[in-house]
Order: sequence, then C-alpha cells, then structure tokens
Amino acid sequence: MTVPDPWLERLSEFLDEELESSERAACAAHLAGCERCRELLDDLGRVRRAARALPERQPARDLWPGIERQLTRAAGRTSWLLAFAAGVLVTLGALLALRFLTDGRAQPELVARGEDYLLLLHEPAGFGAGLDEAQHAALVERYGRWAAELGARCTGGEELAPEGLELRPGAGAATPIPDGPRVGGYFLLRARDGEEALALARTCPHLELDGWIELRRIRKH
Amino acid sequence: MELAPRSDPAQPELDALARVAGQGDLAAFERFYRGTVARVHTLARRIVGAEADEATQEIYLKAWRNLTSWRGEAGVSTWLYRLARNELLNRVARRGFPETGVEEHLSTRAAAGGLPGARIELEEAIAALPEGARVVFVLRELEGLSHAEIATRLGLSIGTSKSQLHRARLLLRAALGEGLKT
Repeated sequence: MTVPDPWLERLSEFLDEELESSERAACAAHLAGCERCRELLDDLGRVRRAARALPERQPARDLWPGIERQLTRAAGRTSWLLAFAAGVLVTLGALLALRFLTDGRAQPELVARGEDYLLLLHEPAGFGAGLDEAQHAALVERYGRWAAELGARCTGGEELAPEGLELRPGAGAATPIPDGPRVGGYFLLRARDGEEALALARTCPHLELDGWIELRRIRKH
Repeated sequence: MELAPRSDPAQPELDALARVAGQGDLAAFERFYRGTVARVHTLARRIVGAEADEATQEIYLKAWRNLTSWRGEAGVSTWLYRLARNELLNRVARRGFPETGVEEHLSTRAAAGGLPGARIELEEAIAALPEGARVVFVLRELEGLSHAEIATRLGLSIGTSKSQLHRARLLLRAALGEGLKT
C-alpha cells in the first residue's frame, strides 16, 4: 500500500498552469523526484492534446427536414401576426398587445383532439418596467413568433394590463392588486397530453425573461 | 435539387447568411444550418449524448426565432455556439447536475494508478464518462471555458470544477490505456 501522493490530485492544475507560483514551484520540485507523477503528467497532457484534436462530425442523419417542417408550419402566420401586433400597439397600446388567433389551415385534426391547457405567465415584481414602446413591441414580437411556431397548438393568448382589482367576499371595496409578482399574461395550448403540453411550455420565451409559468389543464364541462 | 454536401462557409459568409435569414429567408437559414451544424451537433453529442438530434433541432428553432437579437457585434457563429451551449446546459440542469459520490472518488483513485484498459476511441471514452466529469471536461477541454465560468454556469465551486476535470482526464487515461501512447 503506497502513501497517497499529495500532488497526484493537483497535476491537472499544474498542467493547465493554474497553480499559484509557490505551489507550482513545490509541485515542480516534487515532479523532479517522482517518476510516477511525471508519467501521469505526460499522460494527462496526451489526453488533453488528443481531446483538443478531436474532429467535429456531422449528425448521422440530416436534421434539416425536421427543422424546416416546424419552421414552415409557423412561417405562414408570422408576417400577419407581426402586422397585427404592430397595429394593436398603435391603436390600443400595451393593453391588448398579445393576441393570437387560431389558423384555420393548420392541422384541424390536432385541434379537434387533445386537451386544452392554460399557461399562466407569472412575472417577478418590476418585470418589463422601463421598456419603451419599441422594446415592448420587440418583446411582443418574440412571444408572437413563439405562438406562431406552435401553429394550431396555440389557440389563444393575451397580455394582461398591469393594473387590476382584487375582489374579496363581503361588501368591502375592490382594491387594486398590490405591487409585486403577478400574472402578466396567458396562453392557451391544445396538446395531445400533459407531457406534450409541458414540452411546449418549456420552449416559451417567458422562461428566458425571468418569468415563470404555471401550466394547468383545463377541465371541460 | 442539389444533394452534394456544401463546404463550410467562411465566417463572413455565415454572417451574411444570418442577416438574410434574420429577415425570414428560409433558404439562407438552411445554408447557415449546413455550415454550422457539425460543430453544434458535435457539442450536443458530447454534452447530452442520445438527445443530441432533438437538442440540435431545438437549438436551430431557437436560433431562427432569435436571429433578430443577433446584433452582429460578434460573429454569428460565436452567437450560435453560445446559444447552443446554454440550451444544452439547461438540459443538463433540468436533469439535475450529479453529485460526486464516494464510490466515484474511489474509482478515480484506481484510475490514477493507470489500470490497463482496452483501447477504445477517445470520443467513445468521453461519452462513457460519468456525467459530471464529462460536462466539465467538454466545457473546459473542448470549449475552452474557464473554471470560473463553468462553476458559475453549473452551480459548482471552482474546486469541484477542477477536480471533475482532473477526474475526467484520469478516467480517459485509464480507458485509453496503451492506446494513448500511439
């Protein structure tokens, strides 16, 4: 049984020149007298060289047709959607900025079957504060592109105005919703099952913008 | 229909393709895809293994959506590879980044002894690494990220990132055996 070599665990750092100068000197001194560590260091260097020389490889099958299919399904609606979103912004401002109508041409059988899901877009306090009109429009466009890509699987969606009222049981006055985290919008999805709904929801740009999503299946009555 | 593979477009050509594609030109986006997919898919294979095809498709769908956010400050391939890396690491994070167990430490010690191993190709050996060691190895050795960046991105300490890299190298050395010397 050999005594564990204290430098054995540090040789990668030595190789990568990540040791401080005093440690580096001590390690070098150790290496001068330890053949085992010298051999190991050489091998680690070989692993590093070999890995860096590895070639890139094409995927085994062509992935483009699948990508193209998903993009063309969305493309027919994008320009319409952008024009629509811009128009809404001009006329109604931020209040009604998100609106996506279903596309009659897209996959009617998918619309007919499946379950409906509600995506509640939760926002941290101050989400979107300080955006000017152009920045807000860019944000709307981003959500719109996403919805457009979903084709018939997205059956609706709106942005909610930031102000609103809370109503409680009893005769008390309705009070403005407090500042802080809130629901800022929603989407309606039509999916085969919960798994597909989850997969779709995960691609929502809201998650890249510090928001979080509540995914709920809608019970039809 | 042209079926012959195109050669990799050079950087300025990729940038130009990306600008056209950003205006909604699907043909330009296809050429952009063909010029960049080898690197994206190679990275995907190394980080998420069997999910590489699915992840690659997702990356390009996202690239298409977000091309308008590429401002041309860095080359578009830099932008794309950063997007790809983030997507792939999000996948890893969703599964939960694995902790290093005691047994793994033991096997690392054994590997340090240079156990004789059958020679297998390096790429396969990387694929067979434990996930934690593999991801750190790919990011550091193949992608050139610093330990500080890796630690931040994966929520590890810098020390853990360093030890995972070392462990990966030791395991690869053991897996490659004598093949390493040739």
